Formats: sequence, C-alpha cells, structure tokens
Amino acid sequence: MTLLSICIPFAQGRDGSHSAINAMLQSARTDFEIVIADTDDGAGQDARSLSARSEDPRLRVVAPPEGAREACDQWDHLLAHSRGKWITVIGAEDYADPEICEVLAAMLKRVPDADALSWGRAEFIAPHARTGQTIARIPTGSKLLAPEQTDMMRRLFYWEGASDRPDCRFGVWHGAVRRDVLDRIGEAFSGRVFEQAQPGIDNLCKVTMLAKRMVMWERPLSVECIAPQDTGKASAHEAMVHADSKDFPFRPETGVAARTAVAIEAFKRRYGIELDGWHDGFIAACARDCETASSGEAFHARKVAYEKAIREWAGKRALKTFKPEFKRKPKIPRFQGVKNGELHFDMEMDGTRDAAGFYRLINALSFPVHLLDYKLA
Amino acid sequence: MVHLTICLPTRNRQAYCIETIAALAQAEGQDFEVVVADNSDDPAPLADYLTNELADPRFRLLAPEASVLPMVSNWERALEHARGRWISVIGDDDYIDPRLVAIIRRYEVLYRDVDAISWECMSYNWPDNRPVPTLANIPIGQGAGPNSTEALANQLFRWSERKRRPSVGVGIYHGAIKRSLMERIKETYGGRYFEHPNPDWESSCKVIMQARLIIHSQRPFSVLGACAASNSAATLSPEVMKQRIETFEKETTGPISLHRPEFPFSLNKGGASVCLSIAVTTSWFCQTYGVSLDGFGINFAHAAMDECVFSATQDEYDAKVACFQSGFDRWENGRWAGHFKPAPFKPPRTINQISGLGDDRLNVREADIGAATPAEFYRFGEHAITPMDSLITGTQVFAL
Repeated sequence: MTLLSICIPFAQGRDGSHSAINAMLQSARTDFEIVIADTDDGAGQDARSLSARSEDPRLRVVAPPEGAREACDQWDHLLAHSRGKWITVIGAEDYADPEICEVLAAMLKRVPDADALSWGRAEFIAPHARTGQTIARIPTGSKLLAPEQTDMMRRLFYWEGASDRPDCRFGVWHGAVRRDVLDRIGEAFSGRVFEQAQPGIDNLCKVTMLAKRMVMWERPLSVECIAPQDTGKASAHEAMVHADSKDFPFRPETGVAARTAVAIEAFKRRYGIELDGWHDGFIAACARDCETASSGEAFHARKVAYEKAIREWAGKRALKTFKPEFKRKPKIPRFQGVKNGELHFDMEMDGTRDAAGFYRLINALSFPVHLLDYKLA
Repeated sequence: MVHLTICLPTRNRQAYCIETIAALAQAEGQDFEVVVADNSDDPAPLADYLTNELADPRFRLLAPEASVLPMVSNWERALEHARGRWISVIGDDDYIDPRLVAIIRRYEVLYRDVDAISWECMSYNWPDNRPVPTLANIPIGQGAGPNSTEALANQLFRWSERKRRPSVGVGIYHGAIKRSLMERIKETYGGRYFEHPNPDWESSCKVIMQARLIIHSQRPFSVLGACAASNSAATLSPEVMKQRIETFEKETTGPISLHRPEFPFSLNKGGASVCLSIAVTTSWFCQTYGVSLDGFGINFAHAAMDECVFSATQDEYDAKVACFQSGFDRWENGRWAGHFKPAPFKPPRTINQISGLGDDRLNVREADIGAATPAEFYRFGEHAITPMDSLITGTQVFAL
C-alpha cells in the first residue's frame, strides 16, 4: 500500500534534481512513490532516464496534461495520478525524505484522525546562486505538536506571529495532506483541488480551513531549493492575477510577504471571505521581508515598493508601523550558533551542492526520525 | 618569539600522529611551535615525515629514548623542551586550532592575571572507531569569562556534582597554561610538571590549586579525537577497555603507583571505568597534598552509581558494580559502602543515536558527514559556531 505520494511538478525548460530522486530512491521503504509530471520538452522523462534507478516501480512519470499550461493544472494532474493516502508536493530541485512515512505512522498511532502534517522549514540556495556568505537556519526542536485549527487560521489569515510569511504550513507544499481532505477540498471549492498561479498557497488556505486535526513536527523533513531573496519569480500568470486586483496594490515580485498576500487575497476574494484586522500583522511581515535583504540596495528597493503599496492600500497612516531596519550591513558578521530555537550555520558546511546533500547534512544534525516513535512512547 | 607550544606526545600511532601534524602545519602563524614527543617502538615513520616531507621549523621531534618511557615521563620531557609562553598538550589523534594564539593574546589584554585558559571541546570518532553508531559533538555555547577556582575544586576534588565525570575541563590537556604557572606547579609539587600516570586529570588538580585566574570559553578550540587504538575508544567496548587497561598498566609505570591502600579500588579488573580512573587520580592528589576531601566519600558513591547507569549490557553493569562494590567494601573499612546502592540494570533503549541539540551541544551522526579527521571535523563545526575572526576582534554584534 502506498502511504505517501511525493509529487514533483517539473517546469518547462528546467532541469530537475536527478540527485534528489536518486537519493529518495535509495530508501528501502516500499510505502512511498515519487510521481513526476512531465513537460512538453520531456524534462520528467529525462529525469527518469538519468536516474540511477529508472526501472524502480516507486518512480512514475506521467505525461503532461493536455491543453493546460498553468501550475495548478499540473498539480491537479499529479494528484489524479498519485496513489498515496497522503500527498506532498515539492519542486523539481527539492528533496523530501521518504521517512515522512515513518512520521506519518507514528503520528497516526496517536492522532488517527489527523488530516495534515507539517514540519520544520529548511531552505537551500545552490552554491552558484549565492552572493557572499549564506546562512542556513533550521529548527532544533523535535516536539510533535497538535495546534488548534483556529490558531492556525489566525496565523495564516491574520498573519499572527508571522516572519516574512505566515507561520502556518499545513498544505501539500512541503507538507503532507490526507487524500480525503484534498477530495473534500475539490467538493467544497469549485470542483478543483488546486487553483491560482500559486497553488501551494491556495492549497494552504483551503487545508487550513478544512482540516480539523493538524500535526506539526518541529524538525525538517524536506528541503526547498530557493533562489537568493526569492523575488522576481512571479510568473506571467501571477502578474495577470495581480493586474486584476487593483485595490490590493502589492506586486508578487516585491517579496515573499507580498507574493503570499496576493495569493491569499485572491483566494479570499474568489470565495467571498471578508476579514478585518489583519493589516497590522501583514505590514509587520512586509517590514521583516525588507530586513531579509542582503544588500542595502535590495533593502531600499523593497522598502520603497512596500511603502508605495501600503500607502495606496491603507493610506499614509498605515505607514506609521512600517519601520524596517537594514541590519545586514556588510561589516557586521552574520550570526552562527543557536538562537530562538534555530541553528544558524554557514551553508558551505560539509560542502553540500544540492538539496539532497543538504538534507543529508541536516538529517545528521537533527533528532533521528526513526526514534520519534520511541520518543513519544 | 614562540607564544604557544603545542605538545604532542605519541606512542605507536604514527599514522594518526602524521595526520594531526599535517593538519597543524596548515596554519599560517609563526608564533606557535609543535613538540612531537615520540615514544614509539619504531622511530622511523615520524622522523622521516618530519625531516624529509614536512621540513617545517615550527615542528620539533623528540626521538624515542633507549627504552620506552612511561606516558607521564613522555609528557614531562615534552614540557621540558617547550619554548612557548603558553603550553598546551593534545593527543596524537586530536586537533587544536593554532589560531588559539590570538585568543590567548586577547584574553591577556582583557584579563591581566590570566594564567590558565580552558574551553569546551568538540569530540569526534575517527572512521575506524565506529563499531557501533557514534556521535560527534560540537559545543554551541558562546561567551567566555573567569571560572571560580572554589567551585571547580568542589567539582573535581569533592565530586560535588555526583556525576560519573566531573565537568571540569581546565588543565594543560586541551587547555592552555601559562609557562609561569607550570613552573610554579613544578616547584610546588615534587619538582616535576607531571607525576601521576593520569597526567591529564592530575594537571587539572594542580592548575585548580595554583592558577591565579582561569578563563573558560564556551566556544571550542580543539577536538578530542578517538581512533580505534585510543584509550577513549575503549568506552565503546568492555573487551577493548580491558586490553587498554592492561597496556596502560604496563606502559605507564612511573613514579606513582595506580594501586594505593588509601583508595583500594582496582583499575586492572573487569568493570574499571573512566569514572574510577579519574577518582584514582583526584584522590591521590588530595591525599598526597593535603587537600580537603570532605564530602568526597558520599559524592563518589553517587558518581559510581551514575557510572553504572551508563552500561550497555547486563554483563557490563555487573562488572562495574562488582568493581565498585569491592572497592567500597575495603575503602575506609567500608565507611561509604552503604551509600553505593546502584539501581537495577535497565537496558538502554538507544545508545549513541540521539543526534540533534542537547545540553548546549550539537550531536552529529558522524557516519553521515564528510569529515574524515578531527581537523576536518573542526572546520565542519566552525560553520555553526562563532567565527574565530569575530572572537579575535572582539565582535559583539552579529546580524541575524
């Protein structure tokens, strides 16, 4: 029986991470599968043929969906072809640990009706894309938490406790969601599971609204390969969506906070959800987004863009609480060590070159997955 | 002028020693030296390497003498040849960062009377010393400051923590001691730097008694390595422990005997442990030099019970209990025997498997990382702790 489907949508013209697929298939587990959605240029098949285990039945490449070109179409297509009781989606250059199955099993023993599992965030920037010293941050905790749905809704929609993005990760994107929940989402929301230019955030909204029992393991179980600053990634479709939202003047390319807010707003508007009282939390996240800039120029550009959007959106008075500070001056060294429950370390540690290698490293530094059940006993 | 002498006493572990020398030689500074005190049966490998291959004037070799020296005497001659203002001793399968010189200079400016510097150490098992799952660890604490000698004395002499090992890391072994302090120690204690077969713990005793100011850094500057041939490797296997103790007894006979009626615990029987070996050393020091042992008896009984908890098998537990029991029965007419009541054996559910953060240390599953030597592991660990440059310049502000 397939417990987990790791779904990987490939992007046209981009190489996927064969090393990640190979690393996942080195697992002896038989209760997971990797499902790759191919593109018209055959990137998925290329990945399969380059994989050292191209005949492995746990790896399946599905043909590209006909006539559909948006990310959400590909995600829906992947879901339709997946067999797992639980679904996770990662990017073509990312890595997910098949041992998520072990965590699901330990979780289901204690929370049989769990709908969604999330885990600690781990992000990796490829060496060639780094500009100067790059610090990775991973959570050091290993508690299994069961937050209340209402708390998660406040974190997502009201941006409570947000960093540069909401502190809520209960969706299929680098999380695992029970298939039943996705089926219910399809029934509850316009007949489709995934929508929008950012299906990950769209799914996050839907899962947070529909999942009753959520479980979070603090330690990372996957690695997301990101671009530095992760901006300028807005697709043409995102830009079009944005153009339709004239009274929400944030542009997705401004930063993570703006991109996330644009997608959440699109979801709320599509389904007629009106909320008040989330402005302050979001504006604080915008400020934190500015503070992650690695250069003075990037900081000022982002700050100006956010100031303009906030002024247009909520008026000049709203800017009173928008006070980002540029702290990453070149002469100030970056912190390394443990602070606020996170290990900060130089991404050059152990010379890892891709998401799979980076996961191998953080796995060696983190509480062992196979002892979770023992820990909870 | 040589600011720091790193002493490297070694016996018959030339391959590891050469790796350690090569790693130290990569450092650029000219203000440190390394004294390699070779006590091996075959003098050729180290002599060839240092003379023909390395040829670095910062490294000096003391060739083996006509007959094998006790370990304590090999340490003694290494110190006698040291020229540095500060001296440190590490094992031949360890690593120390020679940039420590700059840290010492900084502490000398910040703390005028400092004459002993200690730090938390990283630990690492060489790839040939992993018969069971093993963990390396990296202390991730920050900051440095004076250590109270009174508190340290309670921990080391009276075992006030009641743990299987006193958490006292001060001494010349993986520490740095000012030459003037070592000379004072020599003058005070029998005209030698080292007397006891356990010179590392003996050094801790003497430094605590004689130091004017001890500065302790949470940030590590060295790595305690454990290769397959090391004494510390014995902690992974009772059989190896027995062999090591036999060799230790044979090769460490020096001015002081390990067997004393004042502390009648036996190190050459099954069940001997690192806990016992430390107690043999600290009790010898206190009894010889008149240091108060008030509280030691009951505290050591608790420490012995703690040591028994760390047994992987029933056999290991039984041997440890028997060894301690026999000693307590004979020590001071059984005065402390009633306090030694070890809890029944409970098989550990995991051994060396819990990686991750715990007790201010980052435990690393070393089989899953690339580092193949203690020096490589040190560089690996440095990515997750305060950078040396920041420590040297005294940087206080860091960007998140």
